[in-house]
Amino acid sequence: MDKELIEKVLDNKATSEETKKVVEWFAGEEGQAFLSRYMEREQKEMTEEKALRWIDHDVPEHRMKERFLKSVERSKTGSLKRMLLVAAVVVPFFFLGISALFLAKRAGVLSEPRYVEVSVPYGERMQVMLQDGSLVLLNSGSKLRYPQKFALFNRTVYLSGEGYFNVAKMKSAPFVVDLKGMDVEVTGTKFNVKSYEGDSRIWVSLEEGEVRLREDDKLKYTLLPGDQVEYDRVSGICKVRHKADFDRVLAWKDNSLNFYMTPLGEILKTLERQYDTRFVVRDSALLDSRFTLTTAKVDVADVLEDLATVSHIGFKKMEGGGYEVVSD
Amino acid sequence: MSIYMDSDIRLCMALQKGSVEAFSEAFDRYNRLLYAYAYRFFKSEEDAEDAVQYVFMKLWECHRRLDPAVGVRNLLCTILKNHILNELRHRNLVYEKHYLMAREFGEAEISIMRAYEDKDLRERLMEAINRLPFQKSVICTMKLKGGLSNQEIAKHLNIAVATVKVHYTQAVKMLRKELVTVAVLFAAFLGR
Repeated sequence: MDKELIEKVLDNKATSEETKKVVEWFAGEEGQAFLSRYMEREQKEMTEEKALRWIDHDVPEHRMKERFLKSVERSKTGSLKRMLLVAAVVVPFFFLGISALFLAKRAGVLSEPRYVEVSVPYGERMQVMLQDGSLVLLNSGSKLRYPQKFALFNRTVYLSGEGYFNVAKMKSAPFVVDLKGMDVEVTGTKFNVKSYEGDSRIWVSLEEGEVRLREDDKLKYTLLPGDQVEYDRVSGICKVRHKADFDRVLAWKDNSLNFYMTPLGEILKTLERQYDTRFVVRDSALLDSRFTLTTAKVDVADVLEDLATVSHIGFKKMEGGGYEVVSD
Repeated sequence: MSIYMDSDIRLCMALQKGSVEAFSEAFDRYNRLLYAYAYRFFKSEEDAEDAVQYVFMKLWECHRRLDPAVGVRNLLCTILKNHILNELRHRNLVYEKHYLMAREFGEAEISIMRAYEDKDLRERLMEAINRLPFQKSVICTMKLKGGLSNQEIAKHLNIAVATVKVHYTQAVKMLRKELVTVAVLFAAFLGR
């Protein structure tokens, strides 16, 4: 395209055909590149005086200036308004956060929980309802340590002894029974845990739901309903019994006893706890003999009589309480 | 030149701070140049005004990042250049109309001038001008005989420049009908 022709068009002196052609060309790549160069060169030596020759009217200076200053003012207050808007959104959240923190503190969600410990004497049982609605039935001679208020994302209690748990369902906060090194983790379920101090073995029996056993945070075993796990901390041997006899496992709940091929040592320990009594065994060989017994007798003397009937041992009442175990 | 450059740098620094006075000064300094330049390419008062507004608002938006080495005038010119290029590309059909109208008006004006300069045609033209409404006829006469600008006429008649412009534009359009015959005569005259 010819520079002279283009200037003729810009000066309104070209024919209408030429004008149409050139203006259309302005929109194209070539025309834009040309115009860009042309304007750059022209602008360098352009003066106001020269430029004003192109117009046949006054520059509406005042109107334009007023408009510009108004826009500047508006953009200034606009940014202030934006800031206020941001503040209007942020400030309530800030206060909300503060009050949430305050409430959480009041509710004890964030602070170290205060623990309560219950200890069940021999011969007694106790039912504990935890803050989340979970129920724990504790057998004789058990200790349970639990927080007055659970944390937001976990519920941990410490057990030594035997307990039957009916845990309230709460997906967000798993329920953990800490057995000193061994953890029983559940979300909501019914299960029995037996882990007495002085016994290296742990029994976990699951009635309903799902339970995971962890030792030092490593998953040991996942129990399904009906499973019973007997774990020996010393040997590390883990015995799993499917379709466990829950009548036997949970007999203690109903004040009854249910032993199946159980070593005498264990039976006596259970009786000691349940009836708050004491046994003396002079012949230690007796401790390993196994017995099977089911009874719901309330009085320890009646229970011992039952046991004596089905076995070759007898019980001699001692002075100052307790019994001596003798072989027939 | 160096004084001018220095004042541009000083202005640039004041603009960086976002001072409204500095923007007012920059506007006073460059708005006429930018307006006239934009008008040349847009052939429209409205679009030229919008261009000035656009250029100064762009300057306002980027005032914190101003580079004194570039200079305020150069920056404004570059923004205007890009604005003109964009407008011509995106609203090409609109500008084609503007250019054609400007050309037509220019053509009409030129033929009026030529007719006036020609002894034989001048009389016919003046007759046509006298038939125009009074104010239009006065304005046309002042333009042709006195060679006065719109501004000068406005001052003389104590009316707004815009009014002069409107009257003059309408007058030229009205004369165009007469000019068809004048132009034919003019062409015949040239051919003689």
